[in-house]
Amino acid sequence: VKFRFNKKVFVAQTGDTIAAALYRNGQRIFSRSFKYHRPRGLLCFSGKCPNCLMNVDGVPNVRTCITPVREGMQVRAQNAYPSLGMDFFSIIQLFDWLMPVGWYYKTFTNRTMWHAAEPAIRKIAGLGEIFPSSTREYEHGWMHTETAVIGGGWAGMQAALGCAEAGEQVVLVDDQASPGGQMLYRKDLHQGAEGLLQQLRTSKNIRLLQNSSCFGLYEGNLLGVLQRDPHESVAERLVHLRADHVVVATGAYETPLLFPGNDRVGIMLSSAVLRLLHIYGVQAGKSAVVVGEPSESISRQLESGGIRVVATVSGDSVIKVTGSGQVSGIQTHNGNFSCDLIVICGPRVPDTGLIAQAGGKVEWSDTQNAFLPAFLPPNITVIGDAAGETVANIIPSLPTSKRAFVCICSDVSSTDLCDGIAEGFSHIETLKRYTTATMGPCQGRMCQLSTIGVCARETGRSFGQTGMTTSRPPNPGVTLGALAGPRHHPIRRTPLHYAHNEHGAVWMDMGDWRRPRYYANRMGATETDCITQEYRAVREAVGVIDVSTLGKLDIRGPDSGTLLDKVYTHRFTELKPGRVRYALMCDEGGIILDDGTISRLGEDRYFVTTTSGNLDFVHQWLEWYLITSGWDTHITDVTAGYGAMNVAGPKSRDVLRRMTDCDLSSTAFPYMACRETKVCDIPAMLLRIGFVGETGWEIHCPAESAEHLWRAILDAGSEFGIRPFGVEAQRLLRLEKHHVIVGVDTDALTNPYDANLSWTVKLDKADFVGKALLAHAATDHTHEHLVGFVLQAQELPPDGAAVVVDGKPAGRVTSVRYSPAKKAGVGLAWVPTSQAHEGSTIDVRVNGALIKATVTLTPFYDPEGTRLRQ
Amino acid sequence: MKSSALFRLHQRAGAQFCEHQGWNMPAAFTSPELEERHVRQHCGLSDLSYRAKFDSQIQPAELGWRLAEKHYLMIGDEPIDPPRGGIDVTSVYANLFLAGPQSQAVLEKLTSLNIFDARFPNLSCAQASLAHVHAIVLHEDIGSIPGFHVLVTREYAESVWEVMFHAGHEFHLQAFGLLALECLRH
Repeated sequence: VKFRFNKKVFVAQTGDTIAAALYRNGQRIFSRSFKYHRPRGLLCFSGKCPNCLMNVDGVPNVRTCITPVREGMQVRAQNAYPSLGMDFFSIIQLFDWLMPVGWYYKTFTNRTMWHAAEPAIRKIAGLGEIFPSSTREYEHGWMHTETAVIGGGWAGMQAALGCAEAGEQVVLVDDQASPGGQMLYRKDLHQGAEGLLQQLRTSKNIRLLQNSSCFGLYEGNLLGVLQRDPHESVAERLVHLRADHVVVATGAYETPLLFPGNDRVGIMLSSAVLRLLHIYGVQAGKSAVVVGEPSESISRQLESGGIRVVATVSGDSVIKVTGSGQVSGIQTHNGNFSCDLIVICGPRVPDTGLIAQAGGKVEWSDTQNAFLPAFLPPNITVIGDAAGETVANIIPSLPTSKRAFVCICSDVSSTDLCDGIAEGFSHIETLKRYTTATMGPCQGRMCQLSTIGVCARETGRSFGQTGMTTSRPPNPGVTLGALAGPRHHPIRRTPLHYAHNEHGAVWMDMGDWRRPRYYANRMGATETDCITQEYRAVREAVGVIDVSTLGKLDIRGPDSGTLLDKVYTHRFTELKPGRVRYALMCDEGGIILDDGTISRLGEDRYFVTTTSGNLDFVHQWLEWYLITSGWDTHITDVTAGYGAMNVAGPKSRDVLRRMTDCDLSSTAFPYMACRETKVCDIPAMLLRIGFVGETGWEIHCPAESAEHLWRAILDAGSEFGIRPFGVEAQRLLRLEKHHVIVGVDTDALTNPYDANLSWTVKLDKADFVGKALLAHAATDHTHEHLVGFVLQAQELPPDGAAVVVDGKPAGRVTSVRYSPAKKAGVGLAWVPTSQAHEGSTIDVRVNGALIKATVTLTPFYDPEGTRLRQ
Repeated sequence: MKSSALFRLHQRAGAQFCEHQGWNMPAAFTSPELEERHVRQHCGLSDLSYRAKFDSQIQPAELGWRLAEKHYLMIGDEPIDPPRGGIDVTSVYANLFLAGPQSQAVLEKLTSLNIFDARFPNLSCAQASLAHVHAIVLHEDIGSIPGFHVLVTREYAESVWEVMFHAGHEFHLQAFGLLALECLRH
């Protein structure tokens, strides 16, 4: 398998992880440390420590020791300038006396200093860079199982097989390239790994998630699992795993010992050396000094693997490690030894993070000298080394030295911890926050025990009294890409979407909907030209607009009118079948929530339209009042079932006459009437309403026939100069009529009286939502009012511009456009009551200057509404 | 003829169309035999939006799916005898039919709904978020082949269809037409 590392081609053996392949090829430095840029080599080789983090295929901070090599992979070192071997910033370690613990808090005491230094600090100190242009894909997934086993070591595999044999569905999660745990590299433990693995892979009841880290255990036994490289086109998949029962078999991990120079390249945990040797057939070194308390078996395995053990020394006998860059020897109280590898046999710490996250208790056991689970929440079991079955820690000596690193993630030494405690941060949680120990990529796996040890020693408390820091998800860290998931946002398309494309629609997003803003109908025409043409078509001939995005509710049942009377401000029980009425909905405080139309199609049947964005809310609002009332009414959301288009303009009747037998004369089909009929043989509902202020019909037909009907309307209207018009022209047309758009011209404080919609409120009907406060609003004239205005200059203010009275902001513009009918800029604005009368003058702020405008209370176009009724 | 919300996508995929119950539906995308074999081996996605659907508070005599205490969805091929007071929602929902042994694996990437047999056996139904869209999921196997109807409101149909194909890529998800469905049923 070939891959590139820092642009050079390397060859890996099948099954190698990236770090194993690089080590096999002679690479010894894998990263530079976070703060001092000290060279770092492989330490844990199990995905716990930060030493092997690299950029893989554009994804930063990938743990290369557990990431299998793929053909063509691009691997790059990170946080090293210019290279891993020679990093200029490593000079910083000579000035560590300038950067004591709490350096940030002590140095950057004002904001200016911090802002000046921050960019440089961010560049120099840190982990990998994020490249927003990365094209790697991420996925989400959901799984459900009866038993989830976390950890694929001997105990985890036994538990999974046992549950599977009992007939349970099991998901086994393991963070390594292959399950097996210590069995894969410690030949003295639990023979028969291959047999167990074979059983696992062939069991029908077991789903194996390998190369996957469980980063969190949440309420209700929801587990967060990050699957790396689930398939070739995806970098990571975040799986939401829900289990009836969780078995925590996360085992125990080996931790480093504390001695001066304990972070040198060539110092490795014994488990890492054995992994390299037995899984990948790679010798970590030729001659080794073993530090700590090794079992006989480890020394024997090293020797049989061709690694000569020069000496075995205890941790507290180490004076210093020698060698520039890589280890060349070690000075101890027992003598000096030359070696190219130091093998650390450190304490093994039960991995109990998930237990703590689930609400369990982890407490110090004096008998086993380890933090062990003391209380488990229901449906969670802990087994194996995580439960402390074979763990017996010997707490190592804890020398105080600037070069004895407790936290290798953030370069925190034992001296730094002692200084922090001396400054008063003596609680383990405050010490963590002050020094950042246990807060790096390893999340305490490499440093928690030593941190607790130093804290306990310096404060005179026991380990139990000192306690552990809190384990919180995600642990290990999760990439932002995995949390964000796939690049997908649902889009709502109307049934006429593709027809609009043919007319050159220029799209705009309205929530999830896509609507034509206007139609770019000829080359070289500006947006203003196109919108003006659409406007003129409607005012002078005929236009058609897609209004399928309107919310549509079918309400039927004997109590439907009563429900509508309760929720809307107007009266609907008295509405005659075949008639339409404008409908305004307010909350209990009399604040406008939504508007639309209500058509009575039969004695017990109504058709309600809502604004495009408020459909779900209105539906729920109606259901809420229905549930609490017990009325016999059924509400169905039929929004998607109808395509809707508004044919408007003086020639609209001429167009529609060619398509339907329905009598469209004003006598037979007056303004605010509705009919169910056929148009072009398509069943349709016609509503004679006029949002744009012209004679017009809103046609609702089954969505599957809408495109056919749209084309038929355009064909029939071609001789009358019909044009499709978009949202922008519609907004101009309605503005000339003073028609309000809820949410644009109103806000969270608007009541119908202030918005000149008092005619929609029937205070003389029985109780309805908001009646009490609307009755008060009807007599209270102290508020501001929504009025029309005509600008006295050509320049247009933006929507939202301030209205100024006596030099002070006193209101705001909600909508403004240039009106061809008025040949001036017109708009709607909120002004104080004192200014809300015909002919008063207000000032509107435009680009810092004030422009005069004249208030008008009647529509700018056809104030009597005769054109609507023609 | 009536057009499904997915008509344009089928056209782009090179579907051969046929009239089916007044709708212009894809008969096949490649060959019915290949499509049938593919669904039996992997998984396939078909557009059955032509099927009649009625929303009702009363339990229908047949073809009914109980969505809630007093909420039923009747769905089937025409002619259909709707329940009293039932509201025709044929136009409201697009009906995407996912079938094949890998169909559960595809759905696992799209919804938090537990769609495995123990909790969601054949002829079960549920409402859930699927590909970030509210969906009605009906479990209706074709013999021994797992099958799931995904009903989403028509305006989301294209979006969901595309996301399902994206999620199904690793499971070799392919579109299949009405002719292959007919073969699978017999």
